Amino acid sequence: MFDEISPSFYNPKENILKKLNPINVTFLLFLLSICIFLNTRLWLQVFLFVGSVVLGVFCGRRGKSFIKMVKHTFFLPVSLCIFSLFSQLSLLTIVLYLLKMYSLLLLSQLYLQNMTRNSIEKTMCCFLKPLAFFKIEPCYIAKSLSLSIQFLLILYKEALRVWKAMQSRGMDFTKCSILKRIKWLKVFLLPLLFKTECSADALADSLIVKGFEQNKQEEIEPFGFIDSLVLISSLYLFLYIIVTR
Amino acid sequence: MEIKVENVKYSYRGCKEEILKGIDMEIEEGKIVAIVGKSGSGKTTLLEMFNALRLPKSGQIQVGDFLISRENKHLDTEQLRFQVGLLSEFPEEQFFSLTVKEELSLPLRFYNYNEQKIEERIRNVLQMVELDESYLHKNPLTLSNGEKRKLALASILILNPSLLLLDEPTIGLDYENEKSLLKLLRLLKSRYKKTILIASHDTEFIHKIVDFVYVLKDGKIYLKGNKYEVFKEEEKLKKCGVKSPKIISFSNRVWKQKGIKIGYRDEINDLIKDIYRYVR
Repeated sequence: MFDEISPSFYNPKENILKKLNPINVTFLLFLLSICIFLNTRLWLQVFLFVGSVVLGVFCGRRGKSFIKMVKHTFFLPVSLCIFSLFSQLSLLTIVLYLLKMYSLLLLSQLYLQNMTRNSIEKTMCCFLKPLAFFKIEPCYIAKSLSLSIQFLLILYKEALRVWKAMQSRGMDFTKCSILKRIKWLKVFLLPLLFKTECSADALADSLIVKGFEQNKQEEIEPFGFIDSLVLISSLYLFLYIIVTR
Repeated sequence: MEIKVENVKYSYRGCKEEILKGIDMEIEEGKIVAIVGKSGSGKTTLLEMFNALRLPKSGQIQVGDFLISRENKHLDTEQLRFQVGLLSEFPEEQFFSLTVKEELSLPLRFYNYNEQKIEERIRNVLQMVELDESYLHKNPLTLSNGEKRKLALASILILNPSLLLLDEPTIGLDYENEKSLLKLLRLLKSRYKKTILIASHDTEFIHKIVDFVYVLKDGKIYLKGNKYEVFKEEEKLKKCGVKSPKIISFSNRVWKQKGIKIGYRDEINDLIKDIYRYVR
């Protein structure tokens, strides 16, 4: 179980992000996220959004994943529009914020789909190294973070399994009213709670079996030419946004 | 409930390789049919299609009056799942409640059945699976493997489906439980006229009960026929990663090595009687 499910398990195909050094990927996506967050110009936001979509199409699990994500997060534009009614935001600002939100969502999805548990851990460990100065063990924090991400996926898998089991017993929530769905939610949540607890136990056991104490980690490939190229261009973009802001 | 499968293909999302590469099947009403194959051959995937939990990538499945295909957008899955019950490989996955009674009444409550009807159905179904009423207030998760399997089967039977889909029903069962499952399936076939489809690699169990067998290999039907026709092909079965039942292998060996044709039997006692008859 420990090896079987890792964040990149759901995206097995090879792509450019997987070829890059994971530290670089984390840094790149982090930088891009800051760029998206800080940017105030619409044309640049459109450019960043298109860039994220292109990355999503080529490096994501499926080209359609973004459309699916938009469908599942319809409440974001709705809530933004409601908010705009009270704050007198212009339409362009709403579009800008929406693009920001979806680009960030897409980047986080991409990050999860292209990193393995070990690479996340190693990267986090590298970024959190300064904490050692305060006598805090960075590797433990990194491991907990990477495990939490992995656990989210386990939770997702279990939820799907429970959902399927309910459907196979004739209880299909997709075809009943919202009130009935709310009423029957506890039937869905109860086994999910039990199962995730069991999964957490299994994960903890496998950690012990695989020698958590020895802190085994995968070796990460060294920085290559493409890594440097990507790093320089993303830094350039970041500086451009900061300087011209 | 008759079933007709026509050129069904399926591949998992994000995978180009097809797990099912054009399956054709025909299942008569009231028969017990087995889908046999090694792990990963697509048995469970195929089984889940009869319940519309998965839709075929291409091709279609006719289950009674229901047409399951990607093109049919008007499929009434609610009614279909009422008619087709699926027992998953791991019975715990299908438990949602803290008592057996709640567990059994769950789908009926979902469909707003009245209390009297629920009580009646629970009593009938417990009788069918040979669990007494003392189980009603037990926690499903504390039951033994065999009891869990019976309860899972009861929770499927409570909706009175015409077609039963059983995914690896013998996993984790001891000899006694296996025997009672065998008895129950025979009863469901003979008295309640249910059509039963079993996906399993346990040929020893399947051989005792099924009428017809389909063997899957690399996503295709590699062998099909009545159980004796299929299980006597030991070499072909080996290629599919499936072992022929011992009782059939024995008859084959006697025929090949001694030239004595004692015929194929389901039970060891019948085979012994045949041998005695021959020796005399």
